Amino acid sequence: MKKTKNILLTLLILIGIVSCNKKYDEPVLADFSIGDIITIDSLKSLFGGQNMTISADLTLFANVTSEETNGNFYKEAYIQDPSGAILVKFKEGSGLYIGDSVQINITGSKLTKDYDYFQLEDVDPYLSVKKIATEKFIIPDTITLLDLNWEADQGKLICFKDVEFSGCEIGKTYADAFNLQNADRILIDEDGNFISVSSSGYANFADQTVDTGNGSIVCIVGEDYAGIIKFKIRDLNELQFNNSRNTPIAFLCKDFEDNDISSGGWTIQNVIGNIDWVANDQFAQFGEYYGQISNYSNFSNTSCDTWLISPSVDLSAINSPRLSFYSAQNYSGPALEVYVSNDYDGLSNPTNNGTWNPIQVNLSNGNWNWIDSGPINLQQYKGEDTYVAFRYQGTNSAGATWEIDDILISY
Amino acid sequence: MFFNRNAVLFLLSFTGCISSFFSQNDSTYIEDSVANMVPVFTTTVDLLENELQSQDISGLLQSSRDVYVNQAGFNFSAARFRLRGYSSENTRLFFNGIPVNDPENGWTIWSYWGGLNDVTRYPENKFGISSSSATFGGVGGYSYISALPSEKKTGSRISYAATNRSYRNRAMYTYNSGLNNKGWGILISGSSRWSDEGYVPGSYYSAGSYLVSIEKKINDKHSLNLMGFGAPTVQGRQGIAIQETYELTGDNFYNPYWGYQTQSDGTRKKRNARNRDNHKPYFTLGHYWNISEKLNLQTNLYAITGKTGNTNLNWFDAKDPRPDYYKYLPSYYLNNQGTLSGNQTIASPDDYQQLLNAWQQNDPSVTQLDWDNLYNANYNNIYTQNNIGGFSDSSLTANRSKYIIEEYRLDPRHIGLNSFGKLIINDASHLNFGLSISKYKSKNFKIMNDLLGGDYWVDIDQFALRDFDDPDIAQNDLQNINGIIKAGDLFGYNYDIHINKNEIFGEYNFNKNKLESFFGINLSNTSFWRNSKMQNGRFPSTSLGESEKQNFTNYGFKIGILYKLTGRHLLSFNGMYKTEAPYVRNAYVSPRTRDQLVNNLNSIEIISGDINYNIRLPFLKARLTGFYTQINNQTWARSFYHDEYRAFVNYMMTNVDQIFMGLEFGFESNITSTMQLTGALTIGDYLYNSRPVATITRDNSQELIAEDKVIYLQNFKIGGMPQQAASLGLKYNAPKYWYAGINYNYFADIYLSPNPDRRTSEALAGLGSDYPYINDITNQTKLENGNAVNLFIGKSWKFYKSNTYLRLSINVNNVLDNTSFKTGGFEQLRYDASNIQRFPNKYGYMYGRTYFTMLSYLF
Repeated sequence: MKKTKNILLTLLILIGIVSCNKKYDEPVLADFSIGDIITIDSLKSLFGGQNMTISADLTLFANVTSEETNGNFYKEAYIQDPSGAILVKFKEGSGLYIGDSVQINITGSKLTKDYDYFQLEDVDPYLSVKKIATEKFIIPDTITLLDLNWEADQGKLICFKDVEFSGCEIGKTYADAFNLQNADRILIDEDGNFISVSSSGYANFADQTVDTGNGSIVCIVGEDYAGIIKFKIRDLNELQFNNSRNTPIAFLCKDFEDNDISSGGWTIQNVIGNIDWVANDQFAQFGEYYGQISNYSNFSNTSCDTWLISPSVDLSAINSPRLSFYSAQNYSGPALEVYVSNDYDGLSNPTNNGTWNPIQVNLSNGNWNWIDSGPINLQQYKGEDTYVAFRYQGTNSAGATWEIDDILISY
Repeated sequence: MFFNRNAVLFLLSFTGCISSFFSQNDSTYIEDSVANMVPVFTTTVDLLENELQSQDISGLLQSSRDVYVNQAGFNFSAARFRLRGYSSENTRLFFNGIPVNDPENGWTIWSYWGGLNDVTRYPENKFGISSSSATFGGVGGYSYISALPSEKKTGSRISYAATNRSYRNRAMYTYNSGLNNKGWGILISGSSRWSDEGYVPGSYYSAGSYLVSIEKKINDKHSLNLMGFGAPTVQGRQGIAIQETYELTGDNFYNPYWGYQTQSDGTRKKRNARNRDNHKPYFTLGHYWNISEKLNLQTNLYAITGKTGNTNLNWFDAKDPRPDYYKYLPSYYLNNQGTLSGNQTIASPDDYQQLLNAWQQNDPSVTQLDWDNLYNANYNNIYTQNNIGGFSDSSLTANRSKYIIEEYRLDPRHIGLNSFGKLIINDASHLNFGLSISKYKSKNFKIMNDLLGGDYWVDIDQFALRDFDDPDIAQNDLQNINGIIKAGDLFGYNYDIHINKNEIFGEYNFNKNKLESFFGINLSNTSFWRNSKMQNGRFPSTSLGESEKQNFTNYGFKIGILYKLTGRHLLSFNGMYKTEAPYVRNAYVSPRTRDQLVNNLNSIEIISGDINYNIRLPFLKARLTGFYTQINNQTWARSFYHDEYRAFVNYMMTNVDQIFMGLEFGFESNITSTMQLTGALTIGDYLYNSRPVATITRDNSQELIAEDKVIYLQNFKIGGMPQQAASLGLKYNAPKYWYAGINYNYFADIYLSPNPDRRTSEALAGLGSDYPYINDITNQTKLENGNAVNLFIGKSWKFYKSNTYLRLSINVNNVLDNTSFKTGGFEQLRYDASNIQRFPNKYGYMYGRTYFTMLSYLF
């Protein structure tokens, strides 16, 4: 009996000391200061010419129009209220989603302006942003490319109708997913007006090829670091390119937008002299860059015969392939010549190798006037190895400046 | 029979609110008076923070009678010493007839019966290749813990211990009736160990244990035994960190796992994010049969069940909450020259200084988790989840948790039959034999432990969501698209691992005159497979259902010869060759997502031999051993998170060969009748002996990152333990029932396990041969040698009137409070060859001075 008592006593003690799992109270919700409410438009009007840190206790009420989920946006969100829109850069991933209705206390944030483009920077998404509601989606204004008002529309969600990617862009991906580099794709309307759609190499659609059809696109009016307007896709499902294209798809395309003369297999053959084609971005009319050549420098002309030759293009299966390009010219000198060959070897001096057929084309009439030099039907020259060449010649006493852009073979 | 009532009470008392976990450093004590004060290792260094895995497994052999093993067992474990370098799958352990090595990785994890020290105190130990009665045994040996009332000392023992290690209090009670005249006996034991905060900040401990063993001797031929035990344990864990954080905080026991959480009364309470919660009950029904005078047979039916759980933080579309994340440390903002790198987030020297100050002043909002912020992020994340369950009209608008605590579960369901016997052939020879049948299943899944103030979680993979345009790919469970997860719900993955193993062994022993010898053989068949109940969006065709079964047939031989030169000088030789099925834990590339097997999965091959010289003189006992072992064809699998891939990377090596060789020496000498001098020395050389090949995949894509990558591991040291260790001790046994002693221990040649990927030609590709830091990438990290001095003292009193004893013992480990001895760590698997310090090594330190004081009463 004594033993029984001992055992029971011991057990009770042991039961008493074994504690339960630790329990914790939930912390209280932290206060969120509102201060004075300000609209996006009046926030922009606070800007005094210098980048500034907001010291007043101010809060924006706005709707979120972009999100970081698919990787096309990073540590940022575009927000919009009835007065306008602005890009907000966060210290961390924002965790905001399209349609979120938010309060943002902007005390301590930076208001900056680059190339007329406003940004609100250094916003803490954890301490300064409060979500109020979800799925309050902004309906984008439908506008035309020409209607775009840079001041009023920056940062806004907009919709373009009846647009398509340039024939040169077909077959390319939205961005460079391998090297994680951004890329721009040209979008054109039926009048030939164009804009750049810029996508991040981190976007999960970066490795998809651009849509070939024609239709509507919803995107954000953004800007790149150089102050060029760039439109940003939120979601590929917002590209409704269900109609057939207005302009043809390119079999050969050289738009010089990569600031590289020889990319895509293009070669320069210096038959005489060493004058080269260069990419230039001064007064570009179609995109940012075009190709240019001139034998005039240091107040004198240099004798030359320079060929810019395309890579081999297989046109054998195409019914009536057409060549088009834009040209501009100034100063007097020999005219630019355009040739097509089916038996060039791709390497040699073109004056010794290949049968080059001269093509009749409409060229710029001078004065830097860009004219559309196409379309030229190439049906009679088509073959498995078709080359196009632009031949520039100059003498010691004369030479024009020639500019070409958007060289395209399509059907 | 009073004890039945007690047994019930006892069981009840430990199934209440106690839940469980493993101790990694308790429960390794075998004898807990003088000798048992095992200085315990402080951290979960191994295995790259890979959950579920890091367990301490040392301490099996501390009460061995072997003069070397006995000392090494408790003096060397402070530095994670491993006998002969072997990990614990090489030692087979039976608990009262139950084989308790984990079928998935072979380990014996002592915390599953932590606190039952009174029962586990005197196991039968055989170290190394040896003759063994219950099993063929591993190359590291074999142990058998008996819990039969008829075999244990009778009476009661109650004790209380105060300590400052992982727990601070321990109360223990054991009662053994012995067999009464009707043949009945009961052994019960229970304990409770707890601390609100252990030696390491933020760690805590709450554990119970129970054991009930009932024996009935039916007649001279038959006895029955029914036993159950378990040790429900909850523990807040300690993490190890990089040197920078130790130096900044000035604390070598900095623990990144905890943070403050404000309570409703305004006080702040420490909360740990990584908790273990284990309770794995073991049951057996045993039959002991003396068939004849020459033949006996013990048969056990057993069942193992329960849960093992480990919690951790997870987060979705939110910043990394871990305070020691590399981008939050001051060093992240410095370039190779040690000056500010001009990184965007901290560009100015002022910002940098502020961060530095916060670390140096141990500002807990910077150096620890900030639970209040995590809750607030969840409170403020109203979100509309559409298309729930794949139904376009099903949606939920509520606070979606950005941060959660999830619990990884591995719940065993194991039954088996183990039978072994002994046949005496004649005076000189006998046969040991046995049969083992085991059917094992583990249920592996994740459950929502705490939404941290949010309302729900969505069961999708954030990284896949970002990487793939197809939203189905991000689904963790294609049968429950956009599953809404609330507290207690299962999510993420859900699969079973099945292992069936059958084994027989036989061992012939011949002992005559000056010769003792044995020859043993075993044969086994192992099959394993995976059965998943969830279809993963990344791997829709390989994730769901039963995988192909893998079958392995294995065998082994062992031989031992002992020759007595005289009765006092003994010479012996042992040898073993065996193959073993690969362990499941290393067999699947990523069992959470798919059933893909590691390429070239082969049986492990073990070749081992040792030669021993024993001296048994009245004043000196000593043993000298030389050993050589190869463990070949091993597989090595790890997963780790890689920011750049934004995914878990699965890294697998096959054809990993290892060599373990060295010398062991131990002695015990009675200088006088009261003074005893002891010593132990190990000179080991534990090496990689092959160039393994690696396959690397990602958890969130089908893409193979690398295949057949050659790893230049040959001659690298096996890390994580001292290759050399020495101990010298002096003990005084006073005639008046008290004793005191001192031990000096020295540890040398501890290496970090090499990150295989840093030892590839690919790692050095692009770096010129004159690149100055090539050695930093390829050389193996060797830790500084260290030492520890331990003191112990004790006294016992006998009360003649009641015939009871009172004992007091005090042990102080690491008396000199050496807190700068790194005893382990790891190279991070993620590395940057152009700046190897970007992902530096993580280290764990030996505890400083600790004590263990115990008062026990035997009655």
